[in-house]
Formats: sequence, structure tokens, C-alpha cells
Amino acid sequence: MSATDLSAQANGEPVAEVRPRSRARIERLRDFGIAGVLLILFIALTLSSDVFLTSTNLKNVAEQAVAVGLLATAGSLVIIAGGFDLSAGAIFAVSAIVGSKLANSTGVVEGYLVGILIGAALGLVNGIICTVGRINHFVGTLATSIVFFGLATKISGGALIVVPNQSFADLANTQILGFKSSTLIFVAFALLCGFILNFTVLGRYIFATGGNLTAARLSGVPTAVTQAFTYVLSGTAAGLAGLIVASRTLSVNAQTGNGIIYNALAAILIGGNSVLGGEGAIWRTVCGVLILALIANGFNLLGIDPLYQQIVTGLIILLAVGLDAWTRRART
Amino acid sequence: MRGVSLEIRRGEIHALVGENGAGKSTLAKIVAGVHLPSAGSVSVDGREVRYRSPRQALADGIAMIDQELALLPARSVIDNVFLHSENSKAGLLRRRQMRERFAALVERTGFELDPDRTVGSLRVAEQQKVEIMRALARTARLIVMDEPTAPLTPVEAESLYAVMRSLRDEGVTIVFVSHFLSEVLALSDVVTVMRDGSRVRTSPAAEETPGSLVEGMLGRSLDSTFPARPESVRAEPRLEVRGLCGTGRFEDVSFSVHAGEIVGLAGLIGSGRTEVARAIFGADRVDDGEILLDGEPVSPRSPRQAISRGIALLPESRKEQGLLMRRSIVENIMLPHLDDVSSGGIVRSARERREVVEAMERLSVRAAGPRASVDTLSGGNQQKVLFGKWLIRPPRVMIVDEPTRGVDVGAKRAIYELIDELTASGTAVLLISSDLEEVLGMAHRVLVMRRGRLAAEFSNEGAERTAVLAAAFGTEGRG
Amino acid sequence: MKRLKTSSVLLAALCLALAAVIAGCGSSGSSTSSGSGSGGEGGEGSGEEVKAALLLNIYTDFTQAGREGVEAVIKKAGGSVTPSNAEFEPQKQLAQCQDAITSQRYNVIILGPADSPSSVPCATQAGEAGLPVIAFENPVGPSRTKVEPQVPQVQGSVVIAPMVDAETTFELVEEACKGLPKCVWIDEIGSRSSSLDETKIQYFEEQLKSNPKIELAQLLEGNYLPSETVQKLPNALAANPGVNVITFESDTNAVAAVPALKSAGLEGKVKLIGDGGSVAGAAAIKAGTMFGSVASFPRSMGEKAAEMALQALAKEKISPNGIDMFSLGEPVKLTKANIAEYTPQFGAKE
Repeated sequence: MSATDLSAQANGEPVAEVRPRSRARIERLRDFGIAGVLLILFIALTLSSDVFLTSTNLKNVAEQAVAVGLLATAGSLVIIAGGFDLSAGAIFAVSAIVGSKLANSTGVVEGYLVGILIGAALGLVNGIICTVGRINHFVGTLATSIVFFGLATKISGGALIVVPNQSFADLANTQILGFKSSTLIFVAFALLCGFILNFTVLGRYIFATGGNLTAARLSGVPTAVTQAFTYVLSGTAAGLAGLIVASRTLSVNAQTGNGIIYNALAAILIGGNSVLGGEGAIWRTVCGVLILALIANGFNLLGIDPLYQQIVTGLIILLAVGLDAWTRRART
Repeated sequence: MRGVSLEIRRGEIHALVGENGAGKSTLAKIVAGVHLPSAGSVSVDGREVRYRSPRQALADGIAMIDQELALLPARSVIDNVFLHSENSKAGLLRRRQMRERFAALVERTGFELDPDRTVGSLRVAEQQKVEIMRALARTARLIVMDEPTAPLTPVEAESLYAVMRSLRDEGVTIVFVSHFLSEVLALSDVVTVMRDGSRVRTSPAAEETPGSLVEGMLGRSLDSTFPARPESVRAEPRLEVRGLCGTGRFEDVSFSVHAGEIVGLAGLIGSGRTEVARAIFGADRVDDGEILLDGEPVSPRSPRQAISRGIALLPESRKEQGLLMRRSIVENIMLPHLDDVSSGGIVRSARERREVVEAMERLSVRAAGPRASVDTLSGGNQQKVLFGKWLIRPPRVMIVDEPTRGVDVGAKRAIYELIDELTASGTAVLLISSDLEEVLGMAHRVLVMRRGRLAAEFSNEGAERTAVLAAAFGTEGRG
Repeated sequence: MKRLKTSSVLLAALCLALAAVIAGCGSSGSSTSSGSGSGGEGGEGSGEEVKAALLLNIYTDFTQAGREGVEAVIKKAGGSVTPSNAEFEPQKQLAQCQDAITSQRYNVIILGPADSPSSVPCATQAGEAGLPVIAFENPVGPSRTKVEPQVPQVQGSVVIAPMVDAETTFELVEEACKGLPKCVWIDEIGSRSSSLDETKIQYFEEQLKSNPKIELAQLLEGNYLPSETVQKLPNALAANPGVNVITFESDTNAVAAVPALKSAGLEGKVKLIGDGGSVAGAAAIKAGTMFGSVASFPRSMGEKAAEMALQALAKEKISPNGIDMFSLGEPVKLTKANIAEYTPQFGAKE
């Protein structure tokens, strides 16, 4: 105990350079991770079911993924911009109900248009509440989701709305180049979202706003407008999804879309997008959507007790969140 | 960092100096158990140790106070001080005993802190005191401090020096990392100079001069810290501020900055310097007064409007307010100028890339490429990227708030040259800094703020360090 | 570097585990169905082995009784039944239906719609693939109340007629109110946004017009949960201290409400009417804690649906092709007077 004697020696690899290099590798691992899960799922299903790899089935899967996919791709933009939209499921219901009622009273095309516009308008309400109103995004959209579901029940009078006019089904069921129109609408919408995010000024603003709100504002980014835009887009997508579902079954009630928002959020997170904003990609969300759709499809094809589906869905979410956490730990 | 051998004796103040990336922080972190050396060994009291976590180092009496303080902002001072060293019996806290210990710590350090205030409501200097008390509460015998005075005002720094000295006299060993060479020489017993991950030399502080330290750090001598002041001041005032008021923040602030001129804005932290800058930039409300740009009144209501008029602000904290840390250099630099490199809302990536590559060359940013994420860069290079944002389209007025905080000597000089470059193109620069040397070395004129008002103005020739300080503290009358 | 390796190993392990789970489930699933398939030799006269997909709306003790009925009949005929659960979501059910058709593992679909009109596309697509459809529990088609098949692909229909339920419930309310000068009634329902509940309420309101003595004082939303019902009931009791009758969405909720009545000091003063005639409900009627309930026959309904499926596969004529569940057993209106004649078909034993 004479003197605190301390000597530090370090040899070999330069410590300071390890971080960036391993980071790039983990980044790649992370990309590989989610695509790998999807691939494994795909191979496992191909091996265990004869009919999985048929065009009918794959088209079915795509069609089944449409509603969740629309909500999830638009929702990703909200999350990347630093927001969070819990109310998309409720907007889905309101748009579907208003659209169906209008299709009965006025006309099918008017039903479509007004339904989508209502979705955009409710999205704008969310955007204003969360930006101008400075209310926490979770709480704000949780509250509006309750209000919107109430609206849906009120407008529908609690009753089921049936659309007898068969042409209302055209939005979802028209065949184009061998694909259902609903599938094509989703593909187009996802491409649009990806394009906005990666190639436009708005996309830059979305990343900047979610990545560092203060820095974005001080760099002249219209942060409130940017976030509000993502909410409008989310509302529009929810409206579109609601109408597609209503058009598919020619009927809708206030309970339609009850659980859909949780599937959409799950898809976004499974894809590996960060809830914290500022990062993410549409292709990740699409991976998440497809993984969820494939699990459901696989279990249906194999005729398994639905209980397993819940267990495995949960396990996959854990896997995705785990991946995200590992890369995050490696960064700090 | 490679092959560094270092001996730190008990009861000495040991300074580590070097450029950013020289490895001094890494060395300090290895000592404190934050990082694990990939090879080599660490011995404490002659016993070889291999810390896997700061907790293990702490058990040996080694505590680290990081640049970014590790406190629980929502908890009280006393809770933070005794975190993990609580007095307890059967899991229940013994508050009275902890109060007594706290009183003893206050006596020992001279830190008059209210134990019940929440840490988040304290200023940075006071938070640092909480960290020091916590280290002492854990009976630390060796305290590692990374840039402890960077966020402090000169007076606060002085009082920290006093505490460090008295701790040394009690037998506590202090290792500290600093960029302020005068501070290093005045305070430490021993100085270790680092360069490129290696130790250059360790010698008694008495044998070093600022020049010898700089030479050791850079491997060459630096002619002067500050470039020659440019003779670019033009007659016409670029920015004029008349009677600017922001209730509760600042009052009746009037000054002007000419094209090509650098005006320094000095004052203590909290004197309203940053607040004035934010108001001019449209980030905060203005309650009264006028802002004129080239003689035309402007009243930006948002940073976006200010930017479109040609006013730019380089914020004081690059991580919190300046950069998108996880995004690329391109995205950061082009963020305010996207309208220029896009058509129909679509970004022309080839065009923007060209501009950014050009800017990176001019700024000599060291990075893997223009798409490299900003958080992979060193602090100095990050600061250059932040500058690059405005340099590619020189604004009419540029406000720089603490432009060299946390930046090493070599990069400092580069940043000063960038500021001069801006003035050469006719930009009016308002330079806010807590570093008096910097303000005096760079500015054509110096304004001093005190308690939200302009207290004094010095022209370049008449500005004396002591006079500026006196104005900042309001002690002119007494001399 | 070390951390990198561990995490990639971990990732690979997790992926493998995932694949194993999926593949494992796949093999166990197929072995179950083939095992039960080879258990019996041929169906009743038909050359084809029955492989039924049973699309259930939700898993409850009620639908499980139905499932057991279906399985009993089909397994006896040497076939197999694979159930699925739509969890009240029509879209999920449509996906399950499509996938069942695509998988080519089934030759008949017994469809318990999550929502009657929304289930039409499932029937249509099954028809296109040549699979007969039997409607089970709820009708398939635009009308939620019509017992007979509404779309050509549905060859048989055995469903709960909501109007019978509503009528019987109201008869019980009238009986409970007999002799009272004024009768205050609280109705606990599942959810206002449920179309079925809405149908019942509309019927009640219609009936109340000609029964001025009965006053429907309050509607209570229990959201199909005993916990929520029990939580909300004290407020309703405090608001209506003179309440005479409470009807519940299920027997379970009615039985769960008894302690709340006790603590409100209303025990024995209020008549409780349940719905469903479960094991617990029947016992409560016998014991006098419940005034009455509406019977149900889920197991018989399942058996009937399975018989229809067998007939459809054998290309036999199904007659009648629309059956109301309430016609499958007796009595329907349950009170203490006739409870001895009733055998409950679902619910936990005491």
C-alpha cells in the first residue's frame, strides 16, 4: 500500500478503430437477419407443404397481407419521423363505414373518394394534435383512436352496413395482369413510400425530424409539417385499407379493424425499424408484413391448431427485437 | 491505441493531453474499467487487475467522471451522491446517517449543494460537483476526469481546480484529460502527452510550456493558435439589432455586425448570449425590438424563415442540436440546402454528392466517404461537417455558438480558418464563446453580456482579458 | 470481434430453432390428420374419406362443444376435422378459408362465420374449388337472421336464430315481471358495436312499446367479459335501486353478478336471467339463484353440421337444409319449473 501504482499496456490491434469496422459488419448482419428469417420461413414452408409454392397460394398470401401492409408501410414513415400512430385501426373503421354508407346512398366512386379523404382528414387531426398541440404521440393517438372508434360506432349505429352494389367490390377484386387490384394497390403504395423516403426532399426531412428534432429545426426543416404529413399519409393508407376490406366482403361494421393496428406495428418492429425514429426502411416493414403473413398462411396450409401460431408469432417478435437490441448495444 | 506504458503515482494530479483520437480518453477509460485492453495489463497497488466493468474498478477505489455526466436527472442530489453506496439496514434506507455523511462531504469539498434538489434542475457545473461527491462517497482513491472543465465558466473552473488540489493533498490521485493547456500546466504535477495512440512522453508539469506540449501533441510546432485577423471588414452593417427584448431572457440588446466582421459575444453561461442568438435565428420568441438585415427589417418566426433570409446558426451542442448522428455526411451537410439540389421535390443525388465531396475536400474531413454515418467520425471532423452545412452556401449572417468546444488543438486552428474564410466572402459572424482566448484572438470587436443585458463593448485593440472578465462579472467599479 | 461472433451464433441458433418449430409443427400436424384418417374404413356409403376444415369464429367452451359434436360424427365415419380460430376477425377467417382451399387437404368446409355477410367470399371461393360448404352457428350470407342457406355454395345450414333468442329472453322478462305494477329492467349486453346485440336491442325496444309496465332502465356493456360486467354492475345498481330484472349476455356473467347483488343488499330481490343454458347456468336455476335462461344445443348443432357435411359429400339431398339450433332440443325457455328436463351441452361442471 505504498503507492497507487498503475500501469496500462495495450498491444496489437488499434482499439480506436475497432468500432466503426465491426459496426459496418453488424449493420450487414442486421440486414441479413430479418431477410434471413423470411428466407428460412419460406424454405421451411416450401419443404413442409406441397401447395405452398403455387402461384394461387402466393397470390393469396399477397392479398391477405394488403390491409396490414398498407397500415404498416405508412406507419413506418410516421415512426421514422419520430411519431407514432396508434389510431390507424380506428381510421380504417371510420373510412370503411363512411365509404360503404356513401356507396349505398350516393355512388360507389364517391364512396371510395370520400372514404379516403376522411382517412386523410383524420390523419391531419392526429398530425395537428401531436405537433401544434405538442401532445405526446402515443397518448395523443391513443386518445384519438378511442374517439375514432366511437365515431365509427356512432356513424354505423352499431349495425352492420351491407353494400348490395357488386361494383363496390371492384376496388379489391378487379383482375389486372393476373393479380388482384388490392395487391397491386399495396405494391404501388409501398413503392411510393420507399420512393418518398429515399429519393425526395420530404424523405430527408422525415429522417431528420425523427433523428434529431432540434437539429432538424435549427437546419430549417419544417418539422411540424413533416410529421403532420406522415400522419396524413398514415390516415390515407388506413382509409384505403378500410375501403379495400369493405370492398372485399361488401360489408363492414364498427368492429372491423379492431386488432389490425397491432399487427401493423408488429410488422414494422419485426422488420427491424427502430421505435425511436430517425432510422428505418420500407423494405424492412415489407419483410415484417410478409413474415407475419407467411406464418399465418403456413399454419393454415398445414392445418395446425391456432395456438401454435400465437406462440411462434411471439417468438419471432422476440427474435426481431433481440436483433435490434444487439446492434444497438454494439453502437454505444 | 498501442503499446502504451504509463505509471501514475499516488496523490498526484496526472494530466493526459493530445489531439482528439490520440487515445487519451481510451487510456483513461481502460484505467477506469470502461474499456478492456485487447492486450497488456493494468496493475493497481502492484497487483495485476483486469476490470470487466466500471463496477469492478470502483471496488478498487477507481472512479470515472465522464464528459457526459452519468446522473439520474429526476432524482435528488443526495440520492445521486449515494447511489450504490447507500446506508441501509435490511434493505431500508437510513436517511439520517446519509444526511450526516452528506454534511461531512460538503465540509470536505466545500460544495454547498442542496441535498434535496433534483439533479436535472442543477447547472452543469453543479452536476459535476455531484459526480465528484459521488466518487468520494464511494471512497475513490483514484478519480479519472474526462474534460472536466469543458462545460464550465472560468470561475467555475477555478473552483474545480481548488477542489482537485485539495483532494490531491488528501492523497487522492487524479487523472484528467483536458484540451486547455494553460489549465493543464497550472494544475497538474505530471503531464503525459499522447499522439496517434502512443505515449510521447511523461514529464513533470514544471518542465513543460504550452509550446512544448503542442509540439509534442502535433509532432510539429504550431505557429500560432489563431490565424491573422482578416482585414475584410466592410463599411455597411450586415446585421443590426435594436432594442431586442425576450422577456425573462434578455433585455434591450442593441448591436451591429458588419459584413466581413467577426464580433465576439462573451459573458458567463446564463448571461443570455445563446438566448439572443436563438432569438435572432427565429428559434425563440422576440417580445420587442427590431432585427435588420442589410438595412431591411426582418422578424424570422422560425429557423426556416431565418435561413431563407440568409441567417445561419451553428448551435453550441453538436450532438444534441447540430447533427443527425446516425445519418450520413451528405444528408447532414445538404439538409438546409435540399431545395437547391432537387427538382420537383426529388433529390438529385449526383449533384448533391458532387457538392458534398467538394466541401469535404475543402474542409479536409477525414471519413470513409460522403455516405459515412456522422457518428463514425471524430469530434473535430463532426464539427467540420457541422460547419460544412453552412460553408457550401455562405450565409449573410452566421452565428457560431461555442464552435470549438470539445475540439482538439489541431482542429481548432482549422475551424478558426473556416470562420475567417466565411468573413472573406462577406459573411458577418457573431462568435459566442466561453473561451476568452478564443474571443480575443478571433474577434474584431467584443461584446460582453451580463444578466441579459449588454454590459460592455471592446474594440480589438482595447480588449484585455481582465477587463472583459470584469465586465462579465460586473466588477469593473472595484477594478 | 468476440461479441460479433456470439451474436451471429445466437442468431443462427434462433433461426434454426424457428425452422425446427415450424417444420416440427408441420409434421405433427400431418400425422394427426392422417392417423385419424386411417382410423376408420371409408365413410357412410360414400367412397370418399371426409376431410373437413372447421372454421370457428372463436374458441370458447360453447364452440368447443360444437367442435366435439362435429368431430364425434366425422371421426365415426372415418374422417378428420381440422379446426381454426378467427378470433372474431372476418379478414383473418377469410385468409384461413383461402389457405384451407389452396392446401387441398380438405374436401368439405364447415364455416362458422365471424360475420355473416363478410363470410360470403369464403363460400364463393370454396364453391369455385368444388368444395361444399356447411354454415355453422351463424348464417353465411347478407342476412344474419335467416336460417336457410342464402348463397348457392352453402349446401346446408345449422345456425342459432337470433330472433328466437331475443323472443325467449323477452318472454322470460315478462314472466319475471308478472304481477309487478312497474318493472325496472337492466340489460347487460356484449357490445353496442356488435350487430347481433344490436338486433336484440331493437327487438326489445319494439316489444317495450306494447308493454308500458316494463321499463328498460339501463344498457350495460360487458364486452363479453364477466370481469367487466362485475366491475360495472355496482354503478348500475346504485343508479337503479328499484331494479327488478337483470338480463345477461351469458349465464357466466349472470352467475358472476351474484356477489355484486349481495353487497348491494339486493340479493333475492332481483331476478337474474342468463343466456345459453350452460352447466353452471342450469345449476343456478335449479338452486334458485337465477330465474331463467335460454337453452342452447351446441353439441347437437355440431353433430347436425357434420351429418350435413357427410351428406353433401355423398351427393345426397339435404333436407331440410336450414335448421335452427333451438329446434334441436327441448326445452328452450329454461326456468325452475322445467330445468330438470334439460341437459346442458357446454360449460365447466361444478
